[in-house]
Amino acid sequence: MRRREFIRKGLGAGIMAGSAIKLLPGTGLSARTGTPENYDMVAVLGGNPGEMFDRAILSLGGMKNFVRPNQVVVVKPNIGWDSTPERAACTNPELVGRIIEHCFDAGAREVYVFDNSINEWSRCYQNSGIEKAARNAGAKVVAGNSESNYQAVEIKSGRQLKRVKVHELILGSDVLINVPVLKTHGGAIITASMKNLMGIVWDRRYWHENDLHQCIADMCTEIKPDLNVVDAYRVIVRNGPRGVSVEDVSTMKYQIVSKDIVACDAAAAKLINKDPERIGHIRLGNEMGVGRSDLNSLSINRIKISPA
Amino acid sequence: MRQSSLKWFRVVTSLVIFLFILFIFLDFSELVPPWITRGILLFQFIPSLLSFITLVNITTAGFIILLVLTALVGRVYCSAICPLGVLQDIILWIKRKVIKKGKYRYMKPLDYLRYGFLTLAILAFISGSMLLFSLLDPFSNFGKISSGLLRPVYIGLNNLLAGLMEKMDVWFIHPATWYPAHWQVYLYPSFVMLIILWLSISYGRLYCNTICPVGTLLGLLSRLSLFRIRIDKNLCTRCGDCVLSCKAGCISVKKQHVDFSRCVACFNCIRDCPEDAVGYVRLQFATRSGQPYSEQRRQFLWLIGAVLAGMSVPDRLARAQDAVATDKQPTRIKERKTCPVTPPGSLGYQHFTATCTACQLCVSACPTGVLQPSLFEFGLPGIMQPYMDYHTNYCHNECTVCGNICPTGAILSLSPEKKKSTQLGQVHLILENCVVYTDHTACGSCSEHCPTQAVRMVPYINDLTIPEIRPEICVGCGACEYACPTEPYRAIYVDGHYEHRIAAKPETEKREEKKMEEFPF
Repeated sequence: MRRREFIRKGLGAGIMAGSAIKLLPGTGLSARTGTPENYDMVAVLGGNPGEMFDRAILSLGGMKNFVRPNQVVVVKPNIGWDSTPERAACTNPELVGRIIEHCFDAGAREVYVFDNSINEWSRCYQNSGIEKAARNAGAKVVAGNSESNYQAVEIKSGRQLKRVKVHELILGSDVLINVPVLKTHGGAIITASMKNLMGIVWDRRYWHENDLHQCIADMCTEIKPDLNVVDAYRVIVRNGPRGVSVEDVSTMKYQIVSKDIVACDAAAAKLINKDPERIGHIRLGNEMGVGRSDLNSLSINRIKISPA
Repeated sequence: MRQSSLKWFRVVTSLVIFLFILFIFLDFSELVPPWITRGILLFQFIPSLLSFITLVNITTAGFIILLVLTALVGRVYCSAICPLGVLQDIILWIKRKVIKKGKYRYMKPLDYLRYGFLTLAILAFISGSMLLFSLLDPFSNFGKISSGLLRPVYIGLNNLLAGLMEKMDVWFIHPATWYPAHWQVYLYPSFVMLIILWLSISYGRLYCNTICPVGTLLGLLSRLSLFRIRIDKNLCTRCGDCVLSCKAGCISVKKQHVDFSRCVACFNCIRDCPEDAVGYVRLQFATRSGQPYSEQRRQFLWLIGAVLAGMSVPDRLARAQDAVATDKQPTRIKERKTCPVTPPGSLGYQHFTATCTACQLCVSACPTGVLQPSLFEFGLPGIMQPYMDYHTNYCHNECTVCGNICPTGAILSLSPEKKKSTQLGQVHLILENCVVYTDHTACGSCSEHCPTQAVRMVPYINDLTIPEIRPEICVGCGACEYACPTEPYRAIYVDGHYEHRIAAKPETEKREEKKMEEFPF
């Protein structure tokens, strides 16, 4: 029962936190006014990943708007591949570390970091630099390689995905911070916030077999990250999501932060010249009311950090 | 008690070596660096012999040191180095503790059996089959038992502990995955374990003196040893204590004689003799020449000479197991594999099947579990020799563990760069099975997993992408086959090469670094 209580508590806290800062999609009376702390999305260009996040979270009113004292937080980066930060197949470790620091500053009791890696997990955790960065920032780094840690969850509004096994840390935590890295993807066209949630489930094979785009959108109707931080500092612009060499990586120095997972991915798609409307899961996410892909309807704070 | 401390020296040495070898077969977290593993396993007789033949490199010739040791002091390999021998000693120790007795008696040598097994193993090896080495080599049998039977238990205990600690919110121990092979594969290790239990509990170290070809071979050599255990007839009172403590059953109190060819150098007799009448003596040449040699022994020594000569024949490997077809037929719907995929560094089917004793060390060490013991993938003679099972997992691009630890040279060590350009097999695509083709839904799982983009996604109808393969740059790692979601037949698979090739380099476009100055939204 402990787990269910956690879910209830977690969702409750999430909703409270969300409504407190008027970031829930559709509730935004003042969301479009563009006053500080009321942005739907923050986009940052320039600087280094850590300070980019500092600026972004500040303009959203600070991490205290997302993490309350004594809450349990899961930070979910992409740690899918055994690859170095220069290859950009995994989330930037510096960014992951900085997010964790902000969580603790806001009073988080515990921060967990994990991913259901695609390559052998211990190599991914180590060589991506994320394990070290997360530990140094005080987080608990957890392996995602054991089916026994995954619990069945009903996807109530799912069209293709009705039931999925989700890692118990996600179910037992108060706050989920989704930290994908932006990349091209052979099948899904791009991978960013929405697709990053594939890393919290056990059986991904089903998704590929049963309309990948629909399954990605279905998942987002059930598991709703409290914050999405798209790392587009180094971006795999071809041969994604893994990349063949560092020649596939472009240093773009962007970061997109929003509670709206669909908006995040729509903006991320534009960074690599893809039309969000032609990417199935973004289109479906908008259609199913998960979030908004029309960037013109959002109040976006665009921050440029000029080189020091 | 001049030499009685020898026993304790043997016990300590053997336990250190045994526990180490056991651990490397159980370990899943790569705690032991490969060079230490290789150093210790250098002194496993058959692996070292095979490795020497394969690499023709004196640094792999640990077996020569074993031969010299045997020629000096007898079969210390059997008492202190061989893990299967020490396993029997442990079983005997437990037996003594449990039933409070465990005395031995003199047994006649079973010459037809022991020389028969040795001859068969050597003949099979010369004719290119590893089957008898694989079934009889004590190190490899120990490996089969520990990797196949004990490792799942070890992983289970680890996961139990990890689960308990998770409950306490301690995430220090991580659960591990055991990837089971065909269940039939575990029949042979279970059979060997039962034989070992039965023979050791009933007859002491009989296994080592009848079935084990290494024991018999070293036994032949120990007939010539410079130092041997002897009974001093002037001191001996024929009390029989030495006989009761001899687990090889090789001491005859009637003749006051130790059959040194069957002595496994445990030194229990030396410790137990109340008169100090049993101990190592250096043989004088006069007594040596006076010893009669049977015609039978002489024939076997000749046989061994012939074997060593046979080994130097360079085309031995080429004659080995030529039966597998090399041509591949393009097929529809059902995958057609013409050749199993052998591990990176194994050069190909021939070299691998002719050098591997199926000790399962690579199976234990493989971090992804892609290496699995075969059932009939290599035919009956290759039973339990590991193959790349792409339905269990795939070969990790950056990993070179199997080649770094293989003790026989069946899998040669590759640098990470060389490994990444070795082509174990080539990718085949059955578009009619592909979910993009059949369902018109997106997938890309194969391409996502591919380290070289030998399968890439190209534009198809309705904003969809569909796989396209470039077999020349494929390394044959099997990631696409593993990841492909279609059942029962995959839309993409790897067919092994009979001989491994060099993969072409994937072309790299130079990246254009353009300065980002604006937001595109």
